[in-house]
Amino acid sequence: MFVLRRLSSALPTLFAVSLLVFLFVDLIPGDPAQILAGPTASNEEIESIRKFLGLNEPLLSRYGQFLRGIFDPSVATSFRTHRPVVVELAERLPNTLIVSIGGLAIGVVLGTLAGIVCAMRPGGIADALITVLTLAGISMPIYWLGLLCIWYFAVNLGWLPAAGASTPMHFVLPILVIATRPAAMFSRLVATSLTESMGRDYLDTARAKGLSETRVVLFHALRNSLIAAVSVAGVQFGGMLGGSVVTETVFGIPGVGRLLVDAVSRADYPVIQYAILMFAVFFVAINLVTDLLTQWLDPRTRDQERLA
Amino acid sequence: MSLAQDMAAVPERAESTTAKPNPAWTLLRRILVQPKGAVGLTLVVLYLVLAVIGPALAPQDAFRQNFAQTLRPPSAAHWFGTDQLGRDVFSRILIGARATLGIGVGGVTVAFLIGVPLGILAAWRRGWIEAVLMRAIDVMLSFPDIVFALAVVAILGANTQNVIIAVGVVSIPVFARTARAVTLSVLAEPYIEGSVALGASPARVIMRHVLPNISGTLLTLSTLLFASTLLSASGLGFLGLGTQPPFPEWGTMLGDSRSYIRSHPYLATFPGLFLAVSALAFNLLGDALRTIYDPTSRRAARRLPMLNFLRRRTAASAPPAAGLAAAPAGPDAPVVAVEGLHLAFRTGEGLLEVVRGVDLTICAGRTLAIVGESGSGKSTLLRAIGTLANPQEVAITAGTVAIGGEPALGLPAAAVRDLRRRKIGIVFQDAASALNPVLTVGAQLAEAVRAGSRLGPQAVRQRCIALLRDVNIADPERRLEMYPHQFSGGMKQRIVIAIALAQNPELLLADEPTSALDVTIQQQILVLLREIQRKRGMAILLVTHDLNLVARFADDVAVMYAGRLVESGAIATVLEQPLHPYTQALRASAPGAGEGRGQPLRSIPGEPPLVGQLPSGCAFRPRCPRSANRAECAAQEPPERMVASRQVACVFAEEALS
Repeated sequence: MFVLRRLSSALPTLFAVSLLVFLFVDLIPGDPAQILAGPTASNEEIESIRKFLGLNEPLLSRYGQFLRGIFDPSVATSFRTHRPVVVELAERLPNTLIVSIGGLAIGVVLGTLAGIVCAMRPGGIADALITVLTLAGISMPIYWLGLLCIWYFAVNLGWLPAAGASTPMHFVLPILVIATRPAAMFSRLVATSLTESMGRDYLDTARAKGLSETRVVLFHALRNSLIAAVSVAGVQFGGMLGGSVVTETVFGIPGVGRLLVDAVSRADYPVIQYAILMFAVFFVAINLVTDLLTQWLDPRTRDQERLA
Repeated sequence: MSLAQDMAAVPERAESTTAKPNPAWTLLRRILVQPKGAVGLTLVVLYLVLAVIGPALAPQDAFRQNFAQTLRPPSAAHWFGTDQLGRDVFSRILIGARATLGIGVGGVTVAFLIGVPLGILAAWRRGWIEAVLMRAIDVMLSFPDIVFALAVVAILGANTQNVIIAVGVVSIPVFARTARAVTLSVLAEPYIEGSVALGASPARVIMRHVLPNISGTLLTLSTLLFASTLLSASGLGFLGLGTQPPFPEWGTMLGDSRSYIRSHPYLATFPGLFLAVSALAFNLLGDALRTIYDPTSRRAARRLPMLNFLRRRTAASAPPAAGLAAAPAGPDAPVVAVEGLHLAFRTGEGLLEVVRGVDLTICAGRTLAIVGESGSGKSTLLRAIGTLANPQEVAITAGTVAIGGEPALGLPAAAVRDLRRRKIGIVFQDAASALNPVLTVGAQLAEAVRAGSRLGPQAVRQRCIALLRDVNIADPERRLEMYPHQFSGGMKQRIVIAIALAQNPELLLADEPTSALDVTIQQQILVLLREIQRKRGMAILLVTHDLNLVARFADDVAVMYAGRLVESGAIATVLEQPLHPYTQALRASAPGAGEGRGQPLRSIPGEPPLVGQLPSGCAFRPRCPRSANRAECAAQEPPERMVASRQVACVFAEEALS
């Protein structure tokens, strides 16, 4: 079964990922406790930090502790706030997910519409405009676009709040800004795949039935782009989760990305480890789901599965 | 990291660069002919110059703080204003170019130098090296790239050198994966296998054959990755984890400006602008390179110049053909009446005439076969008659088409749909591509049934089942739920026919309906079409190159050569005693026609003429055994005339009679 095979190939990856994240502290050149304690610290202070980080125990039992920390909030606590890392992450995860999923959804819708326009009227004004916007969308640093939007919509026009996450209005600007990238990617993808399938005979079969061009494009041509679209959407979703590191800083959203950046600048190693582990687990899960969806959406591969 | 998938999916085949006099110049020329390539390359060169000589150009000391002049707006003294410490922003941007672009160059170089050899090694040695590498790549790609870069910075500490390492390490898997994929595809080429078999050393094969062939893909990838690396690295700078103060870097400058966005927005303007345009420049250049090296990026290559839409719109809105009113009408009219039809391909250089004045009629219950070599324009003609010629590719320059007595050209979209619905059914050569692979057969059939009538779901289903029965498909109830790939080629063609018949068309267009099938199935499909035609009395227009099929199946035949009908008439008349030398040659070259047992098949000497490069006078003249350089043949295109009860376009047609 494909599902089982795919799952069993994801597990070793997850194991390697957890090992890599665990070894993170050991990869730091020098003594992490010494770094954390600062140059003026006494030996006792360093020793207590070593103890807090569990650096004195053997490697294997430390790895066990590390894995236990995923489920047991009391094991892993933030070095700075002394709160359980899992709690810190769980508090912030909803904000990150709202922005990422919202941005992805809006980007996919806008990009698909733009791609359809491009493919149905190649060489037209709209096509030229969308092509330029797409290139701009791919090249635009999100953090600069974010700053410009804050300045224009929040400061200048005063329509939306500039930073924070206390009301739904706070999410509008970040969602719209990060939607630019998936919108650009989707408009390219849809335009390319539609243009490619425009010459296919089955579209002419559909046209000969007397269907409207809109139905031919939406029902027949676009349907075939769906499979490619799912994997691109997966990649984009993963990219947005990673990008939250930057966007949440720009818009002052208390999310996981912001937490990770703060942890890196304050050398809060437990938080860094678990935050990165969480991102990686999300990534692996997204890849897994898109693979399974792609497999399932294509009747040809679906059948091979059933036969195998 | 979607790039990795994009690029790996398209192993390109660059042509051998050694054949050309100077590959670098050729590449440069091919970049510059594309607008995006020209703009991108110019900007990239400007940026690289800026990175090299920028610090020397800086008008002021970029590090000197001046607390009397903080946060000043742009002015003559400070073109881009001053920052929170009173430093000149213009000078800082010029100096920052080196750090910003340097990080990008450094990161891509690190990734290239580690990733590409690893990828080639994996493709060359295969086995456990490849397995380990691919697994490692999987693990690395399990981290979002900027998060991975953050982790590297967290381990090593934030400074310029570590940012280079961080963004470089992140891109290693992308390079390794692409290099492996393209190397594998090159190594699978027969000539490489040949030189390996001849004992060429691995180093020689890689240097001589692999590297030249994968360099284009890698160049494209590097350019595109440069843009994303630049943005990631500056993102780290923006977070305060990149180049450390007081050294200027555009991302860091943007990060600093964040606190002043309310009061001093221009602080963010200039570093952001420089950063965005540099990423745009590399993306443009990368796109141009991709168009050159990746033959599958057809969209870019096929796109017409931007201003063409103006021309096209006027062409489309112009009256399509003269004399629409003259189209024959009325109940007794033939099902198809084509008069003086001219079709042309739209190309970058203008219109290329492919059908040059075709007249034909088909009556109900009759089958007309159009025969000709590939490239003679017969398929284009068929699609134009079926109102299915793509207006972006094919222009109808003159003539009329009437179907069932109604004009079929120059109609508004709704009328065209109505005409297709009521009168036209179409069957293509390749049934596999004529059916939508992701929809069930039932859905595709039901769509056709519903388009023509207002039936309830149950009635639609009954009609679908009846249609499948009509085309002799057993167990139709079950087949409706199946997908096209679950059927054999002959069955697919039956389904395509069922779809074409769903709306009781008056005209069935069949474009080489059997040439993709094996002989026994061919026979079955033809018998089926015959049977259905007898029952329903529709007209069939059949396009084929198979003269034997025509003889068995059609009532009338029209022989097409270089966009014109050179001989047409009833099957018995034309095939018994062809008068046009091309028809004679076709018949002689058909298997089982002219040659005796054990003799080789005859072929027609010469090549069919290229569209748009016809000889003067008769188009068949250069290959014609009868012409023998007679002046009449070169003087003018021979008009069609009635000779021995068929239309023939040859000045010396009578010579075949004697």
